[in-house]
Amino acid sequence: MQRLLIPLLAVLLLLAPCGHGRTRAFHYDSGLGVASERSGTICLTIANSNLPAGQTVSLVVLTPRQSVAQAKILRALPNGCQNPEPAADGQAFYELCLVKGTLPSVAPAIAVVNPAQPLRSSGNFVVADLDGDHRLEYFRQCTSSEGVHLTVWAGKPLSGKRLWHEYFYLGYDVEPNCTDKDVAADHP
Amino acid sequence: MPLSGPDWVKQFPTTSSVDDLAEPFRTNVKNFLAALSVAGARVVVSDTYRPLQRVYLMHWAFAIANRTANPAKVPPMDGVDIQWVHTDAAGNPDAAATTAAAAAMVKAYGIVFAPAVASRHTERLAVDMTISWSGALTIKNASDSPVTIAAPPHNGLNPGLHAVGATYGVIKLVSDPPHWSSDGH
Repeated sequence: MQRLLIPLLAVLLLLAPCGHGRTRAFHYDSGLGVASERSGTICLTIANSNLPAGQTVSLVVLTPRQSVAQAKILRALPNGCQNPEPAADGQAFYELCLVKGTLPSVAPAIAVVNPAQPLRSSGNFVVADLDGDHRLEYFRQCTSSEGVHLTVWAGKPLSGKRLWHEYFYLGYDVEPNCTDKDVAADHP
Repeated sequence: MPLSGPDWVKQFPTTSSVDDLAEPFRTNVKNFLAALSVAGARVVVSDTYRPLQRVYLMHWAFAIANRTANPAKVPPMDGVDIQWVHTDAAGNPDAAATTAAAAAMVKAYGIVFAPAVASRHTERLAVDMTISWSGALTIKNASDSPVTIAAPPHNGLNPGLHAVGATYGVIKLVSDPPHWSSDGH
Protein backbone atom coordinates (compact mmCIF):
# COMPACT_ATOMS: atom_id res chain seq x y z
CA MET A 1 0.00 0.00 0.00
CA GLN A 2 2.80 2.37 1.00
CA ARG A 3 4.48 1.68 -2.35
CA LEU A 4 1.42 2.97 -4.12
CA LEU A 5 0.80 5.96 -1.86
CA ILE A 6 4.23 7.55 -2.19
CA PRO A 7 4.21 7.81 -6.01
CA LEU A 8 0.59 9.00 -5.86
CA LEU A 9 1.48 11.78 -3.42
CA ALA A 10 4.44 12.75 -5.57
CA VAL A 11 2.20 13.06 -8.62
CA LEU A 12 -0.34 15.13 -6.66
CA LEU A 13 2.41 17.46 -5.46
CA LEU A 14 3.64 17.94 -9.00
CA LEU A 15 0.14 18.81 -10.15
CA ALA A 16 -0.49 21.27 -7.29
CA PRO A 17 -0.52 24.97 -8.27
CA CYS A 18 2.62 26.91 -7.49
CA GLY A 19 3.04 30.54 -6.41
CA HIS A 20 0.56 31.45 -3.72
CA GLY A 21 -1.15 28.14 -3.65
CA ARG A 22 -4.44 29.49 -5.00
CA THR A 23 -6.59 26.90 -6.67
CA ARG A 24 -9.57 29.02 -7.67
CA ALA A 25 -9.79 30.03 -11.31
CA PHE A 26 -9.93 33.76 -11.92
CA HIS A 27 -13.07 34.94 -13.69
CA TYR A 28 -12.83 38.39 -15.24
CA ASP A 29 -16.53 39.19 -14.84
CA SER A 30 -16.75 38.36 -11.14
CA GLY A 31 -13.13 39.12 -10.22
CA LEU A 32 -13.01 42.67 -11.52
CA GLY A 33 -15.12 45.67 -10.58
CA VAL A 34 -15.07 49.42 -10.19
CA ALA A 35 -14.44 51.28 -6.95
CA SER A 36 -14.76 54.99 -6.30
CA GLU A 37 -14.89 57.27 -3.32
CA ARG A 38 -17.82 59.64 -2.95
CA SER A 39 -18.72 61.64 0.13
CA GLY A 40 -16.21 59.72 2.22
CA THR A 41 -17.49 56.27 1.28
CA ILE A 42 -15.57 53.93 -1.03
CA CYS A 43 -18.05 51.84 -2.97
CA LEU A 44 -17.31 48.77 -5.05
CA THR A 45 -19.58 47.75 -7.93
CA ILE A 46 -18.92 44.22 -9.11
CA ALA A 47 -20.84 41.34 -10.72
CA ASN A 48 -20.26 39.14 -7.69
CA SER A 49 -22.71 38.89 -4.81
CA ASN A 50 -20.67 36.38 -2.80
CA LEU A 51 -17.88 38.50 -1.37
CA PRO A 52 -17.58 38.25 2.42
CA ALA A 53 -16.75 41.03 4.87
CA GLY A 54 -12.99 41.18 5.32
CA GLN A 55 -12.27 40.07 1.75
CA THR A 56 -9.13 41.77 0.43
CA VAL A 57 -9.61 43.88 -2.68
CA SER A 58 -6.72 45.36 -4.69
CA LEU A 59 -7.44 48.72 -6.30
CA VAL A 60 -5.61 49.82 -9.45
CA VAL A 61 -5.41 53.60 -9.28
CA LEU A 62 -5.27 54.81 -12.87
CA THR A 63 -3.58 58.16 -12.55
CA PRO A 64 -0.84 58.74 -15.18
CA ARG A 65 1.55 56.82 -12.95
CA GLN A 66 -0.58 53.84 -11.95
CA SER A 67 -0.45 52.50 -8.43
CA VAL A 68 -2.06 49.86 -6.24
CA ALA A 69 -4.06 50.44 -3.08
CA GLN A 70 -5.38 47.73 -0.80
CA ALA A 71 -8.84 47.65 0.70
CA LYS A 72 -11.11 45.26 2.56
CA ILE A 73 -14.83 44.76 2.25
CA LEU A 74 -16.70 46.27 5.17
CA ARG A 75 -20.25 45.32 4.22
CA ALA A 76 -22.63 44.78 1.35
CA LEU A 77 -24.68 47.79 0.22
CA PRO A 78 -28.10 46.49 -0.86
CA ASN A 79 -29.18 49.89 -2.15
CA GLY A 80 -26.12 50.41 -4.34
CA CYS A 81 -23.57 53.16 -4.63
CA GLN A 82 -24.47 56.83 -4.74
CA ASN A 83 -23.45 57.16 -8.36
CA PRO A 84 -25.30 59.53 -10.70
CA GLU A 85 -26.31 56.63 -12.93
CA PRO A 86 -28.15 53.50 -11.77
CA ALA A 87 -26.06 50.36 -12.11
CA ALA A 88 -26.81 47.51 -14.47
CA ASP A 89 -28.67 44.40 -13.41
CA GLY A 90 -26.56 41.66 -11.85
CA GLN A 91 -24.23 44.05 -10.07
CA ALA A 92 -23.53 43.86 -6.35
CA PHE A 93 -22.30 46.71 -4.17
CA TYR A 94 -19.96 46.81 -1.20
CA GLU A 95 -18.50 49.45 1.07
CA LEU A 96 -14.71 49.24 1.20
CA CYS A 97 -12.23 50.29 3.85
CA LEU A 98 -8.85 51.43 2.56
CA VAL A 99 -6.01 49.67 4.39
CA LYS A 100 -3.00 50.69 2.28
CA GLY A 101 -2.34 53.45 -0.25
CA THR A 102 -4.63 56.25 -1.39
CA LEU A 103 -7.60 56.57 -3.70
CA PRO A 104 -8.25 59.96 -5.34
CA SER A 105 -11.73 61.28 -4.58
CA VAL A 106 -14.43 60.40 -7.13
CA ALA A 107 -11.91 58.93 -9.60
CA PRO A 108 -12.73 55.32 -10.56
CA ALA A 109 -10.29 52.53 -9.80
CA ILE A 110 -10.31 48.97 -11.11
CA ALA A 111 -10.94 46.57 -8.24
CA VAL A 112 -9.37 43.10 -8.36
CA VAL A 113 -10.50 40.18 -6.20
CA ASN A 114 -8.43 37.01 -5.83
CA PRO A 115 -5.99 37.38 -8.74
CA ALA A 116 -3.82 34.36 -9.54
CA GLN A 117 -0.72 36.45 -8.88
CA PRO A 118 -0.38 39.70 -6.91
CA LEU A 119 -0.42 43.07 -8.65
CA ARG A 120 2.87 44.91 -9.02
CA SER A 121 4.24 48.08 -10.57
CA SER A 122 6.22 48.04 -13.80
CA GLY A 123 7.31 51.53 -14.81
CA ASN A 124 4.22 53.70 -15.04
CA PHE A 125 1.93 50.69 -15.20
CA VAL A 126 0.44 48.20 -12.80
CA VAL A 127 0.62 44.66 -14.14
CA ALA A 128 -0.40 41.21 -12.96
CA ASP A 129 -0.94 37.71 -14.19
CA LEU A 130 -4.57 37.78 -13.15
CA ASP A 131 -5.63 34.46 -14.62
CA GLY A 132 -2.46 32.44 -14.09
CA ASP A 133 -1.67 31.96 -17.77
CA HIS A 134 1.89 33.25 -17.26
CA ARG A 135 1.14 36.36 -19.31
CA LEU A 136 0.84 39.82 -17.84
CA GLU A 137 -2.40 41.78 -17.90
CA TYR A 138 -2.40 45.60 -18.11
CA PHE A 139 -4.93 48.21 -16.96
CA ARG A 140 -6.10 51.32 -18.77
CA GLN A 141 -8.57 54.18 -18.55
CA CYS A 142 -9.68 56.75 -21.12
CA THR A 143 -12.50 59.25 -21.42
CA SER A 144 -15.44 59.32 -23.81
CA SER A 145 -17.83 62.28 -23.89
CA GLU A 146 -19.07 61.98 -20.34
CA GLY A 147 -17.59 58.88 -18.82
CA VAL A 148 -14.51 56.77 -18.26
CA HIS A 149 -13.84 53.48 -20.03
CA LEU A 150 -11.91 51.11 -17.79
CA THR A 151 -10.23 48.18 -19.51
CA VAL A 152 -7.94 45.22 -18.80
CA TRP A 153 -5.77 43.85 -21.59
CA ALA A 154 -3.76 40.70 -22.20
CA GLY A 155 -0.45 42.37 -22.96
CA LYS A 156 0.02 46.07 -23.66
CA PRO A 157 -3.17 48.16 -23.83
CA LEU A 158 -4.64 48.63 -27.32
CA SER A 159 -2.23 46.15 -28.90
CA GLY A 160 -3.19 43.07 -26.89
CA LYS A 161 -6.61 41.49 -26.49
CA ARG A 162 -9.18 43.36 -24.40
CA LEU A 163 -10.29 41.03 -21.62
CA TRP A 164 -12.57 43.22 -19.56
CA HIS A 165 -14.39 46.52 -20.02
CA GLU A 166 -16.53 48.68 -17.78
CA TYR A 167 -17.95 52.17 -18.11
CA PHE A 168 -17.98 54.75 -15.30
CA TYR A 169 -20.43 57.61 -15.76
CA LEU A 170 -19.10 61.02 -14.73
CA GLY A 171 -22.23 63.14 -15.07
CA TYR A 172 -20.45 66.01 -16.83
CA ASP A 173 -18.91 66.47 -20.25
CA VAL A 174 -15.19 65.92 -20.77
CA GLU A 175 -12.82 65.91 -23.71
CA PRO A 176 -12.82 62.38 -25.18
CA ASN A 177 -9.53 60.56 -25.72
CA CYS A 178 -10.67 56.94 -26.09
CA THR A 179 -9.98 54.90 -29.20
CA ASP A 180 -12.44 52.60 -30.98
CA LYS A 181 -10.72 49.63 -29.32
CA ASP A 182 -11.46 51.09 -25.90
CA VAL A 183 -15.16 51.69 -26.42
CA ALA A 184 -16.11 48.78 -28.69
CA ALA A 185 -19.14 46.90 -27.44
CA ASP A 186 -18.61 43.74 -25.45
CA HIS A 187 -19.57 40.66 -27.38
CA PRO A 188 -21.20 37.89 -25.36
CA MET B 1 -18.17 90.72 -7.46
CA PRO B 2 -18.35 87.43 -5.47
CA LEU B 3 -15.10 85.53 -5.15
CA SER B 4 -14.67 82.03 -6.52
CA GLY B 5 -15.24 79.19 -4.06
CA PRO B 6 -17.44 76.20 -3.33
CA ASP B 7 -20.58 78.30 -2.78
CA TRP B 8 -20.79 78.64 -6.56
CA VAL B 9 -21.38 74.92 -6.99
CA LYS B 10 -25.00 75.18 -5.83
CA GLN B 11 -25.80 77.61 -8.64
CA PHE B 12 -26.83 76.64 -12.18
CA PRO B 13 -27.69 73.01 -11.35
CA THR B 14 -27.95 70.27 -13.96
CA THR B 15 -31.56 69.21 -14.49
CA SER B 16 -33.15 65.85 -15.18
CA SER B 17 -36.44 67.12 -16.58
CA VAL B 18 -37.28 66.35 -20.19
CA ASP B 19 -39.24 69.61 -20.21
CA ASP B 20 -35.90 71.46 -20.12
CA LEU B 21 -34.96 70.12 -23.56
CA ALA B 22 -35.32 72.21 -26.72
CA GLU B 23 -37.99 71.54 -29.35
CA PRO B 24 -38.38 69.46 -31.42
CA PHE B 25 -36.00 67.19 -29.49
CA ARG B 26 -38.14 67.54 -26.36
CA THR B 27 -41.19 66.09 -28.10
CA ASN B 28 -39.08 63.41 -29.79
CA VAL B 29 -37.73 62.26 -26.43
CA LYS B 30 -41.19 62.30 -24.86
CA ASN B 31 -42.55 60.15 -27.67
CA PHE B 32 -39.65 57.70 -27.37
CA LEU B 33 -40.08 57.50 -23.59
CA ALA B 34 -43.81 56.91 -24.01
CA ALA B 35 -43.12 54.04 -26.40
CA LEU B 36 -40.58 52.56 -23.98
CA SER B 37 -43.09 52.82 -21.14
CA VAL B 38 -45.86 51.11 -23.12
CA ALA B 39 -43.38 48.37 -24.06
CA GLY B 40 -42.61 47.76 -20.38
CA ALA B 41 -39.02 49.01 -20.34
CA ARG B 42 -37.58 50.58 -17.22
CA VAL B 43 -36.14 54.05 -17.78
CA VAL B 44 -34.32 56.35 -15.38
CA VAL B 45 -33.48 59.80 -16.76
CA SER B 46 -30.42 61.25 -15.03
CA ASP B 47 -29.31 64.39 -16.90
CA THR B 48 -30.91 66.57 -19.54
CA TYR B 49 -29.92 70.24 -19.48
CA ARG B 50 -26.50 71.32 -18.24
CA PRO B 51 -26.40 75.12 -18.06
CA LEU B 52 -23.55 76.75 -19.95
CA GLN B 53 -22.81 78.78 -16.83
CA ARG B 54 -22.20 75.59 -14.85
CA VAL B 55 -19.92 74.20 -17.54
CA TYR B 56 -18.02 77.51 -17.61
CA LEU B 57 -17.50 77.41 -13.84
CA MET B 58 -16.40 73.78 -13.89
CA HIS B 59 -14.04 74.22 -16.83
CA TRP B 60 -12.23 77.27 -15.50
CA ALA B 61 -12.14 76.14 -11.88
CA PHE B 62 -10.41 72.95 -13.02
CA ALA B 63 -7.97 74.88 -15.22
CA ILE B 64 -7.06 77.34 -12.46
CA ALA B 65 -6.77 74.61 -9.82
CA ASN B 66 -4.38 72.72 -12.11
CA ARG B 67 -2.49 75.90 -13.04
CA THR B 68 -3.18 75.51 -16.75
CA ALA B 69 -4.97 78.86 -17.01
CA ASN B 70 -4.14 82.37 -15.86
CA PRO B 71 -7.01 83.33 -13.54
CA ALA B 72 -6.61 86.99 -14.51
CA LYS B 73 -7.31 86.13 -18.16
CA VAL B 74 -10.36 83.92 -17.82
CA PRO B 75 -12.97 85.25 -20.25
CA PRO B 76 -16.16 86.59 -18.66
CA MET B 77 -19.46 84.78 -18.96
CA ASP B 78 -22.88 86.35 -19.15
CA GLY B 79 -24.78 85.78 -15.93
CA VAL B 80 -21.74 84.59 -13.97
CA ASP B 81 -20.49 87.44 -11.84
CA ILE B 82 -17.45 85.62 -10.44
CA GLN B 83 -14.06 86.98 -9.41
CA TRP B 84 -11.46 84.28 -9.99
CA VAL B 85 -8.48 86.27 -8.66
CA HIS B 86 -8.31 86.51 -4.87
CA THR B 87 -6.29 89.27 -3.27
CA ASP B 88 -4.41 89.69 -0.03
CA ALA B 89 -4.96 92.34 2.62
CA ALA B 90 -2.96 94.84 0.56
CA GLY B 91 -5.08 94.23 -2.51
CA ASN B 92 -2.41 92.31 -4.40
CA PRO B 93 -3.22 89.08 -6.26
CA ASP B 94 -2.95 86.09 -3.95
CA ALA B 95 -2.04 83.13 -6.14
CA ALA B 96 -2.29 80.57 -3.34
CA ALA B 97 -5.75 81.70 -2.28
CA THR B 98 -6.89 81.86 -5.91
CA THR B 99 -5.75 78.30 -6.60
CA ALA B 100 -7.15 77.02 -3.31
CA ALA B 101 -10.58 78.50 -4.02
CA ALA B 102 -10.64 76.93 -7.48
CA ALA B 103 -9.52 73.60 -6.05
CA ALA B 104 -12.34 73.77 -3.49
CA MET B 105 -14.79 74.23 -6.37
CA VAL B 106 -13.29 71.26 -8.21
CA LYS B 107 -13.70 69.10 -5.13
CA ALA B 108 -17.26 70.26 -4.53
CA TYR B 109 -18.22 69.57 -8.14
CA GLY B 110 -16.54 66.15 -7.96
CA ILE B 111 -14.41 66.81 -11.02
CA VAL B 112 -11.72 64.31 -11.94
CA PHE B 113 -11.16 64.97 -15.65
CA ALA B 114 -10.97 68.30 -17.47
CA PRO B 115 -14.54 69.42 -18.22
CA ALA B 116 -15.45 70.26 -21.80
CA VAL B 117 -16.66 73.79 -22.52
CA ALA B 118 -19.83 72.85 -24.39
CA SER B 119 -21.89 69.85 -25.41
CA ARG B 120 -25.32 68.85 -26.64
CA HIS B 121 -26.41 68.98 -23.00
CA THR B 122 -25.68 72.73 -22.85
CA GLU B 123 -27.73 73.10 -26.05
CA ARG B 124 -30.68 71.22 -24.48
CA LEU B 125 -30.27 68.56 -27.14
CA ALA B 126 -29.18 65.52 -25.12
CA VAL B 127 -30.56 63.18 -22.49
CA ASP B 128 -28.77 60.67 -20.29
CA MET B 129 -30.96 57.73 -19.34
CA THR B 130 -30.59 54.16 -18.19
CA ILE B 131 -32.89 51.76 -20.01
CA SER B 132 -33.45 48.09 -19.21
CA TRP B 133 -36.01 45.35 -19.75
CA SER B 134 -36.52 41.63 -19.31
CA GLY B 135 -37.00 39.11 -22.09
CA ALA B 136 -37.98 40.36 -25.53
CA LEU B 137 -39.01 43.99 -25.92
CA THR B 138 -41.76 44.83 -28.37
CA ILE B 139 -41.82 48.56 -28.95
CA LYS B 140 -43.51 50.76 -31.50
CA ASN B 141 -41.29 52.89 -33.70
CA ALA B 142 -42.22 56.43 -34.74
CA SER B 143 -44.27 55.03 -37.64
CA ASP B 144 -46.40 53.15 -35.11
CA SER B 145 -45.06 49.81 -36.30
CA PRO B 146 -44.13 47.26 -33.60
CA VAL B 147 -40.51 46.16 -33.46
CA THR B 148 -39.46 43.15 -31.39
CA ILE B 149 -35.99 43.20 -29.88
CA ALA B 150 -35.14 39.74 -28.63
CA ALA B 151 -31.35 39.70 -28.76
CA PRO B 152 -29.27 40.87 -25.80
CA PRO B 153 -28.22 43.11 -24.27
CA HIS B 154 -31.50 44.05 -22.61
CA ASN B 155 -30.49 47.62 -22.04
CA GLY B 156 -29.73 50.92 -23.75
CA LEU B 157 -26.71 49.44 -25.52
CA ASN B 158 -28.91 47.27 -27.74
CA PRO B 159 -28.43 48.17 -31.44
CA GLY B 160 -32.06 47.27 -32.14
CA LEU B 161 -33.19 49.89 -29.65
CA HIS B 162 -30.81 52.41 -31.21
CA ALA B 163 -32.59 51.89 -34.53
CA VAL B 164 -35.97 52.43 -32.89
CA GLY B 165 -34.73 55.57 -31.12
CA ALA B 166 -33.48 56.93 -34.42
CA THR B 167 -37.00 56.78 -35.88
CA TYR B 168 -38.02 59.22 -33.13
CA GLY B 169 -35.02 61.50 -33.78
CA VAL B 170 -33.34 60.33 -30.58
CA ILE B 171 -29.88 59.17 -31.63
CA LYS B 172 -27.51 57.02 -29.59
CA LEU B 173 -23.92 57.94 -28.83
CA VAL B 174 -22.51 54.44 -28.58
CA SER B 175 -19.38 55.39 -26.63
CA ASP B 176 -21.44 56.64 -23.68
CA PRO B 177 -24.10 54.14 -22.60
CA PRO B 178 -26.59 56.60 -21.04
CA HIS B 179 -26.25 59.32 -23.69
CA TRP B 180 -28.80 59.99 -26.47
CA SER B 181 -29.04 63.22 -28.41
CA SER B 182 -30.49 64.97 -31.44
CA ASP B 183 -27.58 63.95 -33.67
CA GLY B 184 -25.60 61.26 -31.84
CA HIS B 185 -22.99 63.64 -30.41
